[in-house]
Amino acid sequence: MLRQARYFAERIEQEAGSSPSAQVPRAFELAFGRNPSERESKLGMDFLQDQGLFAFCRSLFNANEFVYVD
Amino acid sequence: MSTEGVRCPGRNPHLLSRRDFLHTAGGGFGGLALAALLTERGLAEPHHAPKAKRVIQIFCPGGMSHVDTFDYKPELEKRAGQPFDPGGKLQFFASKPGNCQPSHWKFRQHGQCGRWVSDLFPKLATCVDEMAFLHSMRSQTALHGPGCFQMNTGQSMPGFPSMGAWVTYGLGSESANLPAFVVLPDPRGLPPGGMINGGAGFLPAVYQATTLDTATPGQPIADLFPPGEFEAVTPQADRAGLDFLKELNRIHQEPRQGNSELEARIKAYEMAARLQLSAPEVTDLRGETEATRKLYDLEHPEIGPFGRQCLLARRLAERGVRFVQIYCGAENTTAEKIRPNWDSHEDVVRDHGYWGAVLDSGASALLKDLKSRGLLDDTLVICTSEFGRQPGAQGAGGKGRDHNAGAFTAWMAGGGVRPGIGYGATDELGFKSVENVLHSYELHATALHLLGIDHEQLTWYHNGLEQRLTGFEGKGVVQALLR
Repeated sequence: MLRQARYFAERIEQEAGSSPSAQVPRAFELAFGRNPSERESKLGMDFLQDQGLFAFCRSLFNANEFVYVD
Repeated sequence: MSTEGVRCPGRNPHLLSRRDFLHTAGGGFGGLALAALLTERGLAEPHHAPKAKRVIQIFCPGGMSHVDTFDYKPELEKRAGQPFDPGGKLQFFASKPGNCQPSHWKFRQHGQCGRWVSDLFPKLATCVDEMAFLHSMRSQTALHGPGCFQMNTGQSMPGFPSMGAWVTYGLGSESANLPAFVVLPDPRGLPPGGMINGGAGFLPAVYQATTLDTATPGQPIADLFPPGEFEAVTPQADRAGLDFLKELNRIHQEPRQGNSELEARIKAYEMAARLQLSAPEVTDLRGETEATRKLYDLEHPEIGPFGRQCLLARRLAERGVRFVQIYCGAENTTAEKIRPNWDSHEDVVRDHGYWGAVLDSGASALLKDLKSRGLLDDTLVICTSEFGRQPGAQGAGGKGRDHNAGAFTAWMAGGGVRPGIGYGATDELGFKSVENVLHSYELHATALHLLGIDHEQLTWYHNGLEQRLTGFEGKGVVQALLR
């Protein structure tokens, strides 16, 4: 899980560059197949700036939305 | 009649359906306990004053022979070597009956009560004055997996809630930092039927067992701690990540109320964070005295691992864990020189000899340790197998015994059990239970009673039925077993 989160973070950086405002929506697109809501976007940006892209990617992989299919 | 404060299990209280409303308004004891657990407002009241506060259950998978352990059959000795089934009409599980085979170990009377125990259990034999024997157990099945399910969940079909899940659902948790229901599997692996022996079935998933890995002492819960190569994963980053994850999961859950797995997973992350602190403490046995380490024979290469499981169970019980299940044996395989559980088809002396010494040491240590700490009074200890073995021998050399769903012995101790008694009986050879026949239903009903729970009131509506652990066939609480 941790290793895949690291690969995922590397891919986001390649595809979306270094700006959190581009990284957050790209990560949501790839992980959940949708754009983040406004609330999620703000939450994600704050977390990403505090804890870095790797921790952000790890959280997405652990999210219930990622683990459970509706 | 008000829905204020009464949470319909696993659902949004604001989205009650008509059926849910009627169900909840009917006053579910379990519903109250769930509300208490989910809101952490304290526990629901039990149905009556409990004698036992917690349960430690030892499960011996594979099928323990009653006629070699606790059920003394002099008639079997008299008929030794004579055909068990002269008419040739019987078919055992995997064989035709051989000759009558008396116990491979000598039986003696023990203690003040004079209960009979074979020489397979010299240490447990010193505890008989604390134990009550259920000699008339039967199972609905002679298959290991379904038999384990029946003794754990009350049903031989897979997918029903385990007794530990029912008890947790009824009584909630006593510990904030440890799970309420913990399973300690044999270090060799899980029992027949696997993890769902401790499953929550149709109950909300928060009530399922948490498994502590007894094979790797430094890492009691798989992946609880990140591997060392990830320096970015620090406790501070973990905490921030968990908070973020919780927010994400709450947003995701809002339009998906009523899914207990989502709720359980959110809770599981929080519990995991607390377990990172509490699990290493509970599994670190260095603080135990030399006398305790000797009592459980921790250094013994064969007996030590089960002793460790039993000692862990005592430590968990001390710390408020409601229900601990210890497995004395794993899933079957014939590939080993000694069977990995009690399933002694080929060689009772070899396999029961091995597992007997293991159980004898750990279980007797547990009883003595609980007693000396004053914990036995309110801790119910249950020891059972999924079925017994045949009094007629199996195999060309007649050294084995086949499955016997018709008879086996279970025992209970502490927690308000009347000590030193034997209840029920098998026929003169130990082939079938004939007097006061018991199944899992009565054992479970009695255990729940000791915990302060009326087994007919502990229900969950599922598939059109108010389901219960004890099913609808049993005879209820065995009064003779109560102190």
